[in-house]
Amino acid sequence: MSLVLGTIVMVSGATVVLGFVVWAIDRSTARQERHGKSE
Amino acid sequence: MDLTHIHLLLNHFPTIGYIIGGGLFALALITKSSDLKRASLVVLLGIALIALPTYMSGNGAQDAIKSLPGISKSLIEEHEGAALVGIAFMEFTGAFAWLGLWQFRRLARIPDWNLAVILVLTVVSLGLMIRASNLGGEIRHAEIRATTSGTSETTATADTESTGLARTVGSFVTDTKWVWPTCETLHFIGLTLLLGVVLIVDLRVLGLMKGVSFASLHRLLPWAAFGFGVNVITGMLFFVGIPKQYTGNVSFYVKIALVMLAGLNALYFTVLEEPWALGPGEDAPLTAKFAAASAMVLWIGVLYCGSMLPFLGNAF
Repeated sequence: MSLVLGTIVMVSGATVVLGFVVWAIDRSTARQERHGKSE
Repeated sequence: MDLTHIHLLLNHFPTIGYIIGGGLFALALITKSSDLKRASLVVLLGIALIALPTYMSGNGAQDAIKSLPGISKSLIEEHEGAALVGIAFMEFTGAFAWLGLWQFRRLARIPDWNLAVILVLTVVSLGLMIRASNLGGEIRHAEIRATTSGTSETTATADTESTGLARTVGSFVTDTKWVWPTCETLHFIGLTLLLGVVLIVDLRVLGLMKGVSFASLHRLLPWAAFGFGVNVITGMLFFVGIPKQYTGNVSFYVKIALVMLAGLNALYFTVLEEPWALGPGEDAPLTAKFAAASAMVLWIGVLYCGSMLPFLGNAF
């Protein structure tokens, strides 16, 4: 893999995958918080 | 005091710390004690942080003893590789432990799935670290070497090829042309996320944006933790790639010491009631302001020492 292609693919991939994980944790926790408050 | 002393001082912490932290965690699960769960997660997270300088100082210790008679280079590299795997699992355990503490603050409980993940990761990490510790002991203790390892006969004069896992990973980092620049870019993305969130949270505590409650900003903390996690992974890859750039670099020592202190500081904002209780329009207590100001100094210090690696030390 070339330098430019390799860095772009790996940086984008890692950022998107890891960012999605944090976003999912945030959404899931916020949903549980709302659920807890409505009980 | 040099890195050998530091390694000897720290190298029992990961194993013993995880026995204590894991034991407390198991007890907390059995007794269903929330306080004990949180205490055990703090121990697991703290030990995961201490494991970083433990691993890094090992490279300094390696340089000090590798030429001594009766010291096996292959055993050293086997120990280094086992420690790298152990520390990787330990850092993931620390990450989930931190997440559990954050979840507890928001939900007043830790979700079952995370408790299960932490339990499994703690057991695996402990097993891997015991293996790494045993291999480390074999380097200097021939009495345990003879019965446990087939590599005991090899000495520094007999083995010259680098074959350990850590050296294989290190070669991948330095010899594959896109790996180092990718890690460098991700390191800066992680740093930006971390400092961005830290500054927003700390400035609120210091008195800016008083209309915003701390609980609202607390929701941002996983993004900072994500940035920190990315930086630990990429930073470790840099270190494993060219350890000598860092083991003889005073700027790096200070950076890692500041990371440890900043990690402790982050626990204050993640776990304690005092900042959490800060509502919209309220002024933070003096201790919270002190913690916020010190967090800014510590993280900017980490950034400064990282930038100064080539100028105060021998990196690059």
